[in-house]
Amino acid sequence: MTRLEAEGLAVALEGVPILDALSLGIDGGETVGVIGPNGAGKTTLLRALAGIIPHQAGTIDLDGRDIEAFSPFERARRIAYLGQGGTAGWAVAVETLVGLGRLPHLGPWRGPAVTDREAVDRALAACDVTHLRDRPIDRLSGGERARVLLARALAGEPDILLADEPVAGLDPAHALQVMETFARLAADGMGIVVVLHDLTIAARDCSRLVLIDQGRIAAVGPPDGVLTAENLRAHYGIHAHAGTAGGKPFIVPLSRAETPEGRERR
Amino acid sequence: MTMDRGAGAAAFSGIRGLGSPAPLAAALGAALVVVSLASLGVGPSAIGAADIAAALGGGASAEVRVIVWELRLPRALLAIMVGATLGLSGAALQGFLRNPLAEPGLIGISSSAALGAVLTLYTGIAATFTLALPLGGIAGAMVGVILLQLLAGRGAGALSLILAGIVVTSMGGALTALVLNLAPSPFAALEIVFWLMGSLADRSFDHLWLALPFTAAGWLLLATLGRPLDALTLGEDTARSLGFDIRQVRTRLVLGTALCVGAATAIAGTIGFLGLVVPHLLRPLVGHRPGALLLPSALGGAILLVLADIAVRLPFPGNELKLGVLTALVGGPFFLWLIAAYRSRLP
Repeated sequence: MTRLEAEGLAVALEGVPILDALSLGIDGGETVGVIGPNGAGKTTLLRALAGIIPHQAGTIDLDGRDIEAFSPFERARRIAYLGQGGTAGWAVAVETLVGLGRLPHLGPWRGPAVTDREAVDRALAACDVTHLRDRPIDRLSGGERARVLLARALAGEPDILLADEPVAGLDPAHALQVMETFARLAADGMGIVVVLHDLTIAARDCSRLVLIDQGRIAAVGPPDGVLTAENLRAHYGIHAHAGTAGGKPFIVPLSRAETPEGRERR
Repeated sequence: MTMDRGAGAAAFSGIRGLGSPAPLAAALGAALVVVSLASLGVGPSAIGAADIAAALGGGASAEVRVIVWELRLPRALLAIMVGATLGLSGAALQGFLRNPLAEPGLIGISSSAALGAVLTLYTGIAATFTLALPLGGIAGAMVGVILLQLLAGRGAGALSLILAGIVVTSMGGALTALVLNLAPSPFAALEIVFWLMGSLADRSFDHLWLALPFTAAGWLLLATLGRPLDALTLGEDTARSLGFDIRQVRTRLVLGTALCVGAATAIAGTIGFLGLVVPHLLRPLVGHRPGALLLPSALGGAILLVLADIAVRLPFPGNELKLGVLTALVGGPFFLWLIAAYRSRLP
């Protein structure tokens, strides 16, 4: 089973420290929700794990091997990154866009093979966008585009998927659909790290949560252990109502709490 | 939406749009051969097709052979080389910057090459030997690219490149204006202005051999950019996550553009709009994929410049139009039409 492990990770962007001594392990088969207030370092964590930005200290190991020992394409085949609100620069067809996920798999002088096409077909089907394959990417609704971008990340058939706010801006049905897709992928052994702002989705659809605040892990564990009233007050600065309906948890923010003294909101 | 999947995309081997645009490239290549042969028939002396064919094969009269081999053939080949350079580098720059308004002049290489060439005119070095002018242009392009890399060096992305390009372009323009200002006589100033307008008249095989190594090296560098440009469709972060080193890609782009655009400007002066318009025209035919646009854009640029170089010779035989004037005259309104036609598609 795949394991991605960050140990003592420190990342600074343009000299400003963003992540500090952060340690986190992700196993294949689990959906790890990354939550925390704006500016906590969630996106930076994902970008560092994806190899997009360098880290200044600590290690990132994939299956016990330092990520820096992998060639960039080798790493890209194992770890996929789905950025926040991605927009396509060109009006390519959906199938072409999803096919970009196969780029790390192509040999230097070789075009896409049957295996690449099959992977694209599977990714299109997994995200329920097969019927859109010939549609230009600029002629999609927000929900369709989000699913197509997810299909792009899945086309590489990675072991680890890092998704930054994949349900932001989606209507509830589409958000549920994306989280269901994650659940299916995790059941098939993929390790998923997903940044979420919707605390109900985090509580309901993640096997584990990581609460990040000011570049450090404030809490980690099963959702009910992380989303405590005390944690929500101390790190989000809110009072919330937590409950269950139909056997599933929900969290509704009610009011702002006093920001703890000496705490600097970024 | 049939335009989105033209001849190029239909050739996909595995995934639509990720195959090679071979049929489109073959069609453009055939068209290029036709227009190039046609361009050999255009000039002050009327020479029939049969005589031209004979001259190419080493036959015909000595006079016809000289006209075809020493005047018209180098001119046609230079038009192909310069046109392909502008089309290819335009497509590469637009792909890297994810912006359909980018063009080879944007990063300042044309203006620094022009400055280098203009300096040889101003100092009189250009009059001392034939290749002084293009050599000065190439030297100018090199200074320009070093300056560009120094200015854009720290950041890796598109924005720092654009900013550095604007600085290099305006410095080149300002210094060229200074040279014009200091020109010893109106005649010298006129010579400089005329050269800046761009032309392929009176060029020889010497010019071709001088520019070819730089141009070929630049083309090779730009030709390696297909996959990184595709990956950049979804932005720099996604391209990095797919395993592409964007800083290194940008270095290849800048060096490749500097080599071929620098050499082209040194030979032919500044020729605008081609690098902007050609990728626009062909983009729908390759399914809008930036990597698939490179080869067709090179061929399309060559076709258009050969046609333009025919057109400048037709209206006033003996006093031909300047190539850069024609491309700007035709390119400006054409670009306006293009924007109007594609307005609904622009982001």
